[in-house]
Amino acid sequence: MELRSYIIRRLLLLIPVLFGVTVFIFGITMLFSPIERVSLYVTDARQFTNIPALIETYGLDQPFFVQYGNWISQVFSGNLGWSRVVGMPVWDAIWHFLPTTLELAMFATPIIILMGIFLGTQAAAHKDRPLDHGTRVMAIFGWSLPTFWLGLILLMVFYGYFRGLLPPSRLSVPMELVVHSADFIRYTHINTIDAILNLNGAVFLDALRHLVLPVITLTVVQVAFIMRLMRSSMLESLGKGYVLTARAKGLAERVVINKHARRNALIPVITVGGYLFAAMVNGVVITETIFTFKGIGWWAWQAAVRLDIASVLGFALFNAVLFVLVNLVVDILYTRVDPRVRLGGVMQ
Amino acid sequence: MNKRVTKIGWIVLAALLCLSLVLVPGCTTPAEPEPPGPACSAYIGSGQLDGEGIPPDFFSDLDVRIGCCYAFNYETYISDALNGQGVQRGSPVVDGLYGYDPDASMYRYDLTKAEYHLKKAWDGELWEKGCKFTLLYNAGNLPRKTACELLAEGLAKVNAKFEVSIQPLAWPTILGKIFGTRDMALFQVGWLPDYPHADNFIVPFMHSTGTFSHWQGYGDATLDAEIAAAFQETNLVQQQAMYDELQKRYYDDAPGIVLAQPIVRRYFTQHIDGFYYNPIESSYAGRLYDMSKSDHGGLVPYKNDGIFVFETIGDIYSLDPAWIYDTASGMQVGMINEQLLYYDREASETFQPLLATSWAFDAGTLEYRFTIREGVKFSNGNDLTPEDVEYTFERAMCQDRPGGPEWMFFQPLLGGDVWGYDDTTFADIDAAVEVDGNDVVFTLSGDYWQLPFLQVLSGQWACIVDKEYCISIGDWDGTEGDIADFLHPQNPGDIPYYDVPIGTGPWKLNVWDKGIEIILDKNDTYWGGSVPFDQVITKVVDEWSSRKLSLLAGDADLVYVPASRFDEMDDEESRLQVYKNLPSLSIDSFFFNMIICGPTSEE
Amino acid sequence: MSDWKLMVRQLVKNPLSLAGIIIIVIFAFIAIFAPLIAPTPEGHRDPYMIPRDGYSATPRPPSEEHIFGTTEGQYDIFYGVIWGTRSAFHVGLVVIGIVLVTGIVLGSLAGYFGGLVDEIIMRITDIFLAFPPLILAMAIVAAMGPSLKSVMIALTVVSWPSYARLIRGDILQVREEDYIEASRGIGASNFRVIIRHALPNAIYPTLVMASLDIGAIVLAAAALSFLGLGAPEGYADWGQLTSFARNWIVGSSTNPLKYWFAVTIPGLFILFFVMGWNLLGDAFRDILDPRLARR
Repeated sequence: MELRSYIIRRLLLLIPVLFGVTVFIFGITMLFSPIERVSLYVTDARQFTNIPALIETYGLDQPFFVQYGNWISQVFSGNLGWSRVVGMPVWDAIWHFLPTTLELAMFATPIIILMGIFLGTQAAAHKDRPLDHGTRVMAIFGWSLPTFWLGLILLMVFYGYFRGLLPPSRLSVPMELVVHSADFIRYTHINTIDAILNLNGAVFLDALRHLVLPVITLTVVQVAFIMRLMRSSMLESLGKGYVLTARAKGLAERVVINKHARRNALIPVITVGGYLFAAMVNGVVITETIFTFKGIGWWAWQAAVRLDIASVLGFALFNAVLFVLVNLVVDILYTRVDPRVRLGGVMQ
Repeated sequence: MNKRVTKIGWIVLAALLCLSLVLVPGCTTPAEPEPPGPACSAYIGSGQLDGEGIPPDFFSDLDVRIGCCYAFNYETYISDALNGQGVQRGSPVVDGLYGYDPDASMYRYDLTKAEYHLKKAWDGELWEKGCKFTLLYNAGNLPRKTACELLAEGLAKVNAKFEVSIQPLAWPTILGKIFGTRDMALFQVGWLPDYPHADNFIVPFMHSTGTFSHWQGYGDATLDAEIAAAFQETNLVQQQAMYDELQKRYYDDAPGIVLAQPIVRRYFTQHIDGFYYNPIESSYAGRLYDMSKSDHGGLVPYKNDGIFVFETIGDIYSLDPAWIYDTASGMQVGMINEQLLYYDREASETFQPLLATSWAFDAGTLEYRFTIREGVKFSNGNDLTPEDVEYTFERAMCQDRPGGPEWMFFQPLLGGDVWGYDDTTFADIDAAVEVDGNDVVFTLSGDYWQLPFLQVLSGQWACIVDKEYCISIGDWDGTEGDIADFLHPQNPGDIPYYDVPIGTGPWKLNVWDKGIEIILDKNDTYWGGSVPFDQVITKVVDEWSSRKLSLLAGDADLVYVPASRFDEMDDEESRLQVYKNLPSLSIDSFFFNMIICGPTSEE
Repeated sequence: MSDWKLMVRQLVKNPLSLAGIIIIVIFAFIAIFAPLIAPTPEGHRDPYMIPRDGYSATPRPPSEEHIFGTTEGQYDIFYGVIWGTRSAFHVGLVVIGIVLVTGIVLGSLAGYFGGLVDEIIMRITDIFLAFPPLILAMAIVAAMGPSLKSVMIALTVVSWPSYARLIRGDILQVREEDYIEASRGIGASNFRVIIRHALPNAIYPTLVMASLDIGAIVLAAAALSFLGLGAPEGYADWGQLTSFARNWIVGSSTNPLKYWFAVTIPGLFILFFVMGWNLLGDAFRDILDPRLARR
């Protein structure tokens, strides 16, 4: 099947997915009675004095499809609603908080994947020897730690014990003032990139300094996962026939591993790796909360906990689009890495 | 080989599933509400006085309520749930309010008396048969959970047949139950004052239209008349006697279990001077204009010279004075804009002039005349004129956002029946606030409003905005025809002014990074003279550990410390500046639902 | 059977897998004998709610009465971690069990048959995967009230799609192999081919992931508690106990580790539980692979 038509077909299938997701969420909110749903819209006890009027204003007693239809038409006119938890339109909120999470994901994901692949390959190549055991135990240990536990301990050590060495939040106060001043142009709202584009070394270093702890927290926890997967699928491909052939041909062990075995071992890793990035952009809420790195994950959590339905729906749409795109990329990469897999192929 | 693999695989899976089923905690998860049956609420068991539940009008029996009041261990609640940071009160009127009665009666934890009343209740049937119901608390709130457990424990100690279970629910769900379906047996809420007058606490707790009493089903026309009479009494001695009477009435009727008035603290670094505490001050940091920062040495490093950094939880909703009703927004608005007058330092009944230089009340015409200060400029260069003052109040009343603070203008200016724009006309609003030369004249609806009205004017909702500027950004133009676009807005963003404020205050807005922080810059043209801080930065940091470390590292000058952390901060006292034993004007209380799932109180 | 003896010998030979087995066995022992190790006090209605000794908000250090100390709100940590072992097993095994079965069924069908079946199943998994897991968890918990049951349902719904996709991916690979062709060539039915040939060879990465995931589920439940969405306060659940410790990790300036017990002990239980399953999963993997076994 041709690549272009495959992509188009998959993107078209985005529509039923988005439909399914939003119907699902709307359905869940229907589990609440109209009165409970009204309380999601009001912040003050005094507003409850006239419940029937409130229910009518928000149209909460209409049948499901009417309410869903209203929301859909609102969306098509470009209005995703108002996010109560951050006091701005939902669309603005997504773009306001996304750069922070992107900055974290940008640094963490490559580190996790590369380290995972490297450690996994090494562990598989030296199976059952001390290197294997050692890396495995270290990685497993890291992965078993609860994220908030690790984050808070890192904060305590590197911010508390070492007197402000690696602080939380994105920038220190003086650099904040620089970034918000008229001389500094925020192209992307990603501080490291903006600092480079503005040729401002001080802001760049300050941003990096604030990134260290959250990225470490994310990396330590996730590396084990990739490493384990890489190791087991690497071991599997090392047992396959073509590896035996390569060795019989007298190729160096390093070439056997890197060129032949690893390529096939990468398949499950690609699957998981794709999800890793999307999951990270989806928001590593706990890290964002602990280090006051308020990104889209933090926003979605606030929306969920405070039952801000408009934000929840907006975030769900965003998330849905992201995942479908990631899946598409992963499936295409499958075909590059394993020529035997055909796109959408039926059994011949 | 494959055979072995699949066999082992299935065996292992089966074994794991069996193991997990053996360890089922499932069916005994706590406090699942009883299946409804004929009862209207899932939390009252069978809905009848048969030992398996309670009838919907269970709490309408006075002896039941008084018995519960005696069965609650107030001392343990204060010492353990509040870490000793609280004082018990007998009625909602707390210490610090005008009208407070220090000798008001209070219930004590007394199981004998509880037994006496519970035996009398429902002609002895309750004692014989017992009862079962569920208490709800908002998930995540440990002190509220503790209060529920203490009540349950007390009742169980009196009679083992009183079985009370406890269940958490999300806060919006609970709000919906308190004010909507009303199917909770008891509910717990706290109350904060708008202005420091007993009436501001008595109305929500005892008036038939009160925020809580209305939904409880407590209050009637006679009581309403007594409350109104007390508020309108001009003889101060007589008025205090009437408020004493009302506080006693709350004790006698026991419509709820009053828990405690909290005591709070403030934790600053040692480099900050000039803090003083006024319980009605909505700014957590106090009046920053009267404070200063300089290096005093010590264990906490001195950082960010000239900048005041405050870390807290909860973001602000809006910077429009007409919108705000929460302390976080109030703090910022109070720095950017200014009121006509403000509480004089720690006082709640005397005032210092701000944008008004003097004021005088004429009891005959009920006119309150404020002379507006001259030579004051807004931060955009415009002059402050009496027209700006008139516009500010009219604008607020014509905006009247649902659940907003405007009722505090409607009540004193237009009378007891007027709670919002829909109860009156534009002509009346226009007439209530007029400009006369250099003065602004407010016409009150009663002379008893003389003091409370000044208290209302001290709130952040009464901060003055620039009429010219508002009109230029597309806000209300001051005429009746334009009102429809701005009346009853749903979201803060519906108002153009909400994130671009201009005021006469010591600071002006630099940037409001929503959800993250707000930065204010010094207003160089401030009429009051020098401003102590070049920047005031308020950051929203939800994580307590992070705030604590920031304070100790000197990165923040003040952080929000919840009461449950006071004990923990005792170890840090030598490094910081701590202000203790500050009485907060708030009260936490249980409320009995007189008729569960029933009608609200009439009138 | 000599097969079993072979397997046992392989397990024991590898020190890491041995460690994993021992850890899990110890935890199983604790879980089964919890009522004996940490008996529920008289008159206490629900054994899974930790008994409270007072109401004070400050954790108290280990003492004779409370071997591991108490949390914020005076919940006994020892009782909590012992009974929490039961909750952990319950949550982890039930969720993974259901998820595995669902994922295997749907993933095999999608991977083996391809075409329309594949498309439909993949779109369904897309919908679920596209669903923000946090939001789903919150909605379920809000609708059903905070409890372990809602947490399990939420985690089940969120986890199954990744398994379906993984199985499908592996089956996609495997179905091109010769032995599949061969067995179809001799007329084996599709069902037989899937169960006896495709699946056993495709399943290893999935089993490995499942073993990792039992720990992940326990960690996810802890994360939900941290965000206020898990079991109610006072429930015997490791996640709940660690979230209680959240505000006590930073001790005082003079004694940063003052509340170490509230923080470390539940965390260690989670850590070792997860490590045990991880090592065990590795062990299974090394044994169940027929090709490697002969090395």
